[in-house]
Amino acid sequence: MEIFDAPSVRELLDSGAEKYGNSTFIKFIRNGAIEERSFIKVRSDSLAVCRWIRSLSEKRMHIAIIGKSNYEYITCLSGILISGNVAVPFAPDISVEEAAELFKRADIEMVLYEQEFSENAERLKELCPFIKFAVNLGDLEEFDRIYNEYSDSSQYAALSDIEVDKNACCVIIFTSGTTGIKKGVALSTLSLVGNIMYQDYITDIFTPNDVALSVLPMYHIFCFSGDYIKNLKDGVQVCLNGSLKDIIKNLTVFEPKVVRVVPMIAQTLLQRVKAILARNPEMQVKEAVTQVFGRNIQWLISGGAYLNPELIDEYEKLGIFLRQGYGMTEAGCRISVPDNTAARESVGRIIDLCEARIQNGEIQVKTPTVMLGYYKMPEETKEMFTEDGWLKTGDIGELTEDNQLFITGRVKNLIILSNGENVSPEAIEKKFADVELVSEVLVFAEKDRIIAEIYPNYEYAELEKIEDIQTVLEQTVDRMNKTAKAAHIISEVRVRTEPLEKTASGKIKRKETKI
Amino acid sequence: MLETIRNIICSYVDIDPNEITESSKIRSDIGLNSFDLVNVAVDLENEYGISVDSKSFGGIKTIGDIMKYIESVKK
Repeated sequence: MEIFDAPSVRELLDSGAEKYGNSTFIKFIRNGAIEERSFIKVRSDSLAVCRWIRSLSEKRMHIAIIGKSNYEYITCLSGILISGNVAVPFAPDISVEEAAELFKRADIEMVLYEQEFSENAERLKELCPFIKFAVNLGDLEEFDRIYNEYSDSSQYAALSDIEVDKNACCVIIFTSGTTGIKKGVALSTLSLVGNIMYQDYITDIFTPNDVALSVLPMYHIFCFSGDYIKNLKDGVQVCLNGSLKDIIKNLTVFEPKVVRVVPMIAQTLLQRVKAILARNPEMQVKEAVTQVFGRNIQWLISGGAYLNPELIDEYEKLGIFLRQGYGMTEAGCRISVPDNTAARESVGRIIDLCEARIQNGEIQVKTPTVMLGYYKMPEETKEMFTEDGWLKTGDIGELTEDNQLFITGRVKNLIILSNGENVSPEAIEKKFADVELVSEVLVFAEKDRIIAEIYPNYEYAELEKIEDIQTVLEQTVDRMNKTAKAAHIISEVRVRTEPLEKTASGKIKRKETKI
Repeated sequence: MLETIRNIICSYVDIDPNEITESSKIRSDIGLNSFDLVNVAVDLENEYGISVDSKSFGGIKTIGDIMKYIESVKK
C-alpha cells in the first residue's frame, strides 16, 4: 500500500517564502489603511511566534485561539502548528461558561484571544485556574515585540528548529453538532495539510497572485483549510475581511477573484446587484456586478449549507461561477470539490484522495485525511465509523459513475417504512420547490403512508384565483406520484392555514415518525 | 424615515417598497436573513450617523421597531 504523505505547515511556509517571496500573502485593513505582509514576512513572523511559545513552555500545550481572523490570528495559528503544539480555535462570541467547560475538556493551558473577547478574558481566567498564559491578539505592541525579539537572527532562533510529528494531533476543532454535546475533532498535520493536496479539477483558478477575500471565520474548517492552508500552498493572496458587516465595502476595496461563502451571503450579494439594476434600467449587468464585487470577481465557492441551484443560474447570468463543494471536519475538510463540468445540482466530484460509497442511502467515505478521533471521546468516535472502517457522514446522497456527488438529505430525518425501505423526506420535499402554490412543505409518514403537509402561498392563490386549493394541490401531487418511486408516493395532502412550526434557527420542525 | 428604510431594505430583498409598512415583520414578511440585517444596520449607521449595537438590534422584529430604535439612539 502506498503511504500517504503531505508537507508540514513549516514546509508550506518555507516553500511559500521561496517561491512567492516578496509578493503579498496577507492583506488587511488596520486603522483605516490597507496593510500587506509578504510570504517571507508571514513565514518569519510565524516562526517568531513559534519561538516565543516554545520559550514559554517547551512542553507540548493545547492553545485556545479565540477570534475570527486578523493578521496576528494567522501568525499565531501558524506559530502553534509549526511549534508542535495544538491549536484549538473558538468563535469570539462564545460565552465564558461554555469556553470554561470546553477548555477543561480540551486540556487548554494557554489562550490567545481577539479584542472582541477581551472583556471576558479576566472572568475566564478566574474560571479556569489551569490557564497558564493568556494573551490579547489585539495587543499590537506586544506582537511587534514578539516578531522582533524572536526573529531569525535572535538568540532564540534555534527554538524553531524542531521536527513536528505529522501524525500527531495539531488542531482540535469543536463541531457545532445539532444535537448533544460538542465534540472536539482532532486532526493531524497529515489530515489538515493532506486534505488540500488533491488534484484540482479546475486548473484555471488558484494561480499565484490571484486574490481571495476571506469572509468566513477561521474557526470553521472550510475557511481555515481553504482560505489559509490551501491559499498558502497555491500562492494566492488572502485579504482578511474582518467583520461580517464590512464585506460589501471590502469587496470593492480588495476586488477579489474568488470568495468562499455560505449560501446566505451569495443570496444577499445577488440581491445587491439586482437592486442596482432595478434602480438603473439602462445599466449594463457587468457594471452593476463591478459596483458590488469589484472588477475581478470570477468565482464564489459555497459550503456549509444547502445551495439552491436557482442561485447558481442567477449568478451565471452575472458571469460569475458559483458552485459548492462538500465536506466535514471529521474527514479533514473536503470530500468533494466544485467542478465546472459537474451538474449544477451536485456538490462537485469526490477528490482523488478520498473514496466514497453509498450504504443504505448514506454517504460513507474512506480518506487518509480522516480525523484521529473526537478528543477523549472513544465511544462517540467509534459510532462515527462502520465496522469496516468507513466514516459515516450522516448525509443521504447519490454518487454517479464519474464521481459526481449529490446530497439529498440527512440520515437522522430518514423515514423507515415497515418494509424496511428508507425514504428521505427532503428528496420528496425538494419536488415542491418549483410549485408556486406551495409556500412550505413537510413530508412525514403516518401508519406507513407518506403525508405531505403544505402551507400554501395564499397570496398566489388569490392572485391566480385558485379557490379549491386542496384539489389543485392533490392534482399536482398526482402528477408527481406518476413518476415517483413506489416508496416516494404521497398518499395524502394536508393543507394548513398556519405556517409550519419552526425551530429557533428558523428550520421547519420535523415530526416523530409514527409507523 | 419609513421611506429611507424602505429604500435600504429594497437593496437586500426583491420586494415592492410599498408593501413595506411599519407593522411588517422583517424576517417572515420581508424575508431578510441575518446577513441582510447586518448590512441594513451598516446602512442605517451611515444614513443617520448613529452607532448600531448588534445585540439590541438583533432583537428587532418589525419595521416599527427599527424606527423606534433609530429614534432612541439618535437622542
